[in-house]
Amino acid sequence: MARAYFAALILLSGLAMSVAFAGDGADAPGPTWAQLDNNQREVLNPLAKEWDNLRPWQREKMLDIARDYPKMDSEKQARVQKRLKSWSRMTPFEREKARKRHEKFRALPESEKEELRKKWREYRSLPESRREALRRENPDIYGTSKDQ
Amino acid sequence: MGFEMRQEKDTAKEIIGYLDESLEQLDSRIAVKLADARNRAVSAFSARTAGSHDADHSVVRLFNDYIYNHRALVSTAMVCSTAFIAFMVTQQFSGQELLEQSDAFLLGSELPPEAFLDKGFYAWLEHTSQH
Repeated sequence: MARAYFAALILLSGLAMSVAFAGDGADAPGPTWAQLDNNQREVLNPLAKEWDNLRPWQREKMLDIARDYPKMDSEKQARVQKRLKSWSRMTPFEREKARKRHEKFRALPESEKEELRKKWREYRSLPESRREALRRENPDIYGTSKDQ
Repeated sequence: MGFEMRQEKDTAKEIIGYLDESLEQLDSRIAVKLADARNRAVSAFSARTAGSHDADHSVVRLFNDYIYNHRALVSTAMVCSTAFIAFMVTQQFSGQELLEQSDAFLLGSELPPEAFLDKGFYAWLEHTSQH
C-alpha cells in the first residue's frame, strides 16, 4: 500500500511538472500551411494564400484562434472568419490595444455595451469622408489617458 | 483431524518437557534472559494475532513509521501534489474567463477589432455624448 501511495505521488509530481513546462514553443517557426490539419485549415482558410508568409508569432496567434474557434457559436464563428484577414495584418501594438479595450468593453454593463454597439452602427453608416474628418480631428489617442 | 491435533499437542508437550529438563541445567542468568525473550515474543505474537482493532493499529503504526522515515520525500511529494491539484482546480474555474479573453472571442465580438482602434469612432462618441 505504501508503494502504491508512493507511485501515485511520483506520478502526480511528474504530471505537475509536465504541465508547468509544456507549451513553450515560442521559438519554433510554426507549421506551414501544408502541415496544418484539416480543422485548422478550415478555420484559417481566409489566410490560406498568405499563411506561409506570416511570421512565426503571427502563425502562433492564428493557431490559438483556430484552437478556440470550435468553442464558439456559429454567429461568432462567422464573424471570426470575416475578420481574420484584417486581424492578421494588424501590428502587435494595434492588437494589444484592441485586446485591452475589448477587456474594458467586456467589463461594461450590458446597457452600456448595447449603447456602444449602437454608436458603432451609426458611425459605420456615416459617409467615409465624414469618418475621415473625424479621424483627423481626433488627436492620436494611443498612450493617452483614454487608454487607461 | 482430531487425532492429528492430539498428536501435535502431545509432541509439543514432549518438547516442552525436554526443554524444562534442560532449563534446570542452565545457568540462572541465561535462564532469565531466555524467559525475558520468551515473554517479548509472546507479547509480539499476541499483538499480531489480536482482533481487528489491534490489526488496524499495527497498519497505522507501519504507515506512520514509513512516513517518519521518509518525511522529506513525502513532504516534497505532498507539496507537489497540492500544487498540481490547485492548478487543476483553478484551471477549471478560470477556463471560461480565459477563453473569453482570447483573440478568437475578440474577433467574434459584436464590436469588431477596428472599433477599438478607430480614432474617428472615439471622436464620434465624444460628439454624440455632448449632444
